[in-house]
Amino acid sequence: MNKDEKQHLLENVESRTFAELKASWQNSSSLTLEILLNDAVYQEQERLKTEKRTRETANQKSFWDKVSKQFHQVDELTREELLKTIIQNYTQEIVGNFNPHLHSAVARIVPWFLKILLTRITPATFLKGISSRLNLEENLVISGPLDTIRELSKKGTLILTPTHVSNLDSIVIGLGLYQSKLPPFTYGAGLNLFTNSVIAFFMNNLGAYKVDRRKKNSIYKSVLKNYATLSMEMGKHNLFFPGGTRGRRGDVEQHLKLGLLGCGLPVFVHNLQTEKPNPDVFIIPCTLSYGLVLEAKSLIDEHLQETGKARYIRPHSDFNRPMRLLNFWKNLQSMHSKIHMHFGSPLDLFGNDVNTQGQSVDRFGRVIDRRKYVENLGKAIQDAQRDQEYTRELGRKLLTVFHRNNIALATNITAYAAFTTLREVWPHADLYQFLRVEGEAHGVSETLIIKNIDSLFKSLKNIAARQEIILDPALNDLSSSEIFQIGIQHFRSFHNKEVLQVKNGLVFTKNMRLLYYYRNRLDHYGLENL
Amino acid sequence: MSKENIGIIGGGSFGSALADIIGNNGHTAWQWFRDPSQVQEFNKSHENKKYLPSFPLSSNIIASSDLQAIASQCRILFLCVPSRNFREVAHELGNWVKGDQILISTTKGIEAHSFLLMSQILKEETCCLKIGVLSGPNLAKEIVAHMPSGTVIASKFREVIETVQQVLSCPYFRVYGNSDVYGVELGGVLKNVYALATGLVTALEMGDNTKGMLITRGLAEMSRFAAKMGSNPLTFLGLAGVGDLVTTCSSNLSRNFRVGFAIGKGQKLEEALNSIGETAEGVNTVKIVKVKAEALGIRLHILEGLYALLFGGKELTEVLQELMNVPQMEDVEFMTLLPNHN
Repeated sequence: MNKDEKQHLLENVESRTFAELKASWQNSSSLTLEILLNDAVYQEQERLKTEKRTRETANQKSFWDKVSKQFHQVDELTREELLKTIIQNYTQEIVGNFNPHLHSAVARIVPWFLKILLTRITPATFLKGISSRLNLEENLVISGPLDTIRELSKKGTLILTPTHVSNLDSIVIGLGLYQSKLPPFTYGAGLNLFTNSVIAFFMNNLGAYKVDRRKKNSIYKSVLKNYATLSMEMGKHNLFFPGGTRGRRGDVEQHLKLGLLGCGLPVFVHNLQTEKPNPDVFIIPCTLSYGLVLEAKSLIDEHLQETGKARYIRPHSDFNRPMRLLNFWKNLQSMHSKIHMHFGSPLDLFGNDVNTQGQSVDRFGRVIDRRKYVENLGKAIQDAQRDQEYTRELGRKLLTVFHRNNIALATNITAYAAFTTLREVWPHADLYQFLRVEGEAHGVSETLIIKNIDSLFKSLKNIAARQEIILDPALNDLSSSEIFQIGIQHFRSFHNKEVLQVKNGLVFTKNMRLLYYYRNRLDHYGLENL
Repeated sequence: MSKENIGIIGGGSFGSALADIIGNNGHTAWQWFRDPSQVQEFNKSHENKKYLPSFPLSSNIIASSDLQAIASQCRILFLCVPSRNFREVAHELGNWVKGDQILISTTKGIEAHSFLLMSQILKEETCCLKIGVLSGPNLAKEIVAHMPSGTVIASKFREVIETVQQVLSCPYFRVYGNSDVYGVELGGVLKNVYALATGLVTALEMGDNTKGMLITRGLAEMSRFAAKMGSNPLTFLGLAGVGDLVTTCSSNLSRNFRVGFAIGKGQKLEEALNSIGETAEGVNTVKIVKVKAEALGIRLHILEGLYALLFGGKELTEVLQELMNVPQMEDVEFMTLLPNHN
């Protein structure tokens, strides 16, 4: 995006957001501009009460205090000017500094960037072990119909929709796209990734714009949506995490947030109405599978706290970020653990598959004229209610694709079999009681676990044959015992001996929650009756 | 709305009743009959001699056996074919329809092996997404006799609801909207089971108390099952629930009621089915829903009793005795099924 394009985008985001909001209060019997501003002021002031005091938050506080004092007392026109200022501030905050020329240079040095990331936030003593260049390229396994996706990127606008596992996803995807020779994508990354100036530089230049998830008022959301929509109308490929946040439980996404995903349809209709040469918008599903997850411990704790409430007692946290990061990278470097990035077959905005020629097809291979979905009497029309339903349909399809393209790795298989074997000893304990069954005294036979891995692996092979899951190809010729050993080694390399330990032929865990987290990746495949 | 071509896929009584309303509203109704000889006969007489004899139908109805032509020229298509042929016809239709067309299923049935309802099959077999379900107390003979009736059009798309309301509403036919597609469709399917049971009880002259209890407890079973399948149980308080159930369970015009009645009078199931000469979807539904309810761990005592009688070789007296001995649960189950029930 050159300077002029960017200026054009900013102006359009501001004017469209203002027009949309104005229409919303003008067409509503209950909403007024005053209520809209009041809501934003209240939510922002509440948010700022919980923010750490910095120069930036102090500026924000003074701005919102000023708005708070003004908006009740001024006339409608002045209120509109106030709204315009708020929109302008938000737009400036959101916009990234994406530079296509810089993008390729940045992507080339991402592994170095990761090193910088480590250097910046971990004590130097921990870094003595890392002397060589991080070989993330070799640890990232990319698969899927890349040729088709490359072709489609020339025929229309792409929306990349990855599953969300870790905070590392954005960086991993940035690198994966570069390695796959795919074009850059604009994406909304959490504001926390921009707090470090070095990281912010790279995030900006990997095509990221800032999303502050703590801001929940409708003005901010509208700016954000219009930024994505207008950038797509300009033909910029976008990336959204349709799951919203990282999966806390460890399983593949079960629900999607369709807000940003829904931006694709208005863009498609707008492109048809304005007779753009390449009006199509294609969805590219992408499933990320990690053998080990950097934040596994905190994610599963958050999940259990949320679902278990009083029944879940959070254990003492031994959170040690530098050590965890170091172990994580060391493990990646030693080639034991890999990150899999699997691109699914492209979809249209209605959930239909798109073939190699870019045509939408039904499950019998019959070609579908996708323009018809948005036409009424031969003309493309916008219809928010209709499009909401189409987006739901797309969401349902995406969930199926995510589920189908999940890659079962040695850590997941080992964790699933060990968890199930242990659970059989405690059939009457509820989940929260069972999660405390830890330690050497509660060991189960290693032979039994390996036997269970054997039957689990057979079941997974059957499911994979129906194309409902992908089995890590590296496990193809391995015995159940070897899979178990790999699983144990991987866990040990990052989580020390917490997840699983073997002593005198007995297997036990010192952290059932982690075992549960890694096991959950194979949930929802009907494997319960091992 | 402007007058347009509307397709009715299926040459049965309900298809003709819908075509008649559409024709009377000034649209051109293209009714598809599989059998070309029926097409000729219909276009000559404007009467569906097989299923609605002696009812002269609108002159705006054109019969045809050319599915491609109908599918290509009609923006709105109503599917009124028996459930056993539904997938096959839907698939053929899928060769011709496009994404801007509206498909409405009026067939009440479940596909045995997949437990899919007809609107779900339409989605599998065609590229169309603007799909709706029409269900309610709609006995074809009463509709063509212009007796006041009401129905429900259920769809996730407001455009579908509004379009069908415009096409079908007339002085003797009211069309209500609902967005709980699965609930509305399931209501239409399940009520056939209880119509069979009520026909049976009526034949045995068991009295109105018995019928009242049977219908009400039938409704409780229907909503219990539907809630487990993810529907809103309150949908069953509407026309596609209570409305359809009461009508089907008390009318001689209902095929399922008549089959139940014939069995109550001592006929074997096969004889009863042959004697009405039309499809009684309820018989298959009993079998299919029983398997599903068992898998879901739900007890549907009336349905189970009916299954034991029709397919399990049990005597009627034995079944009745068992039914009167089942645990007495909550009266109004809707309350217990709602999310905020204490």
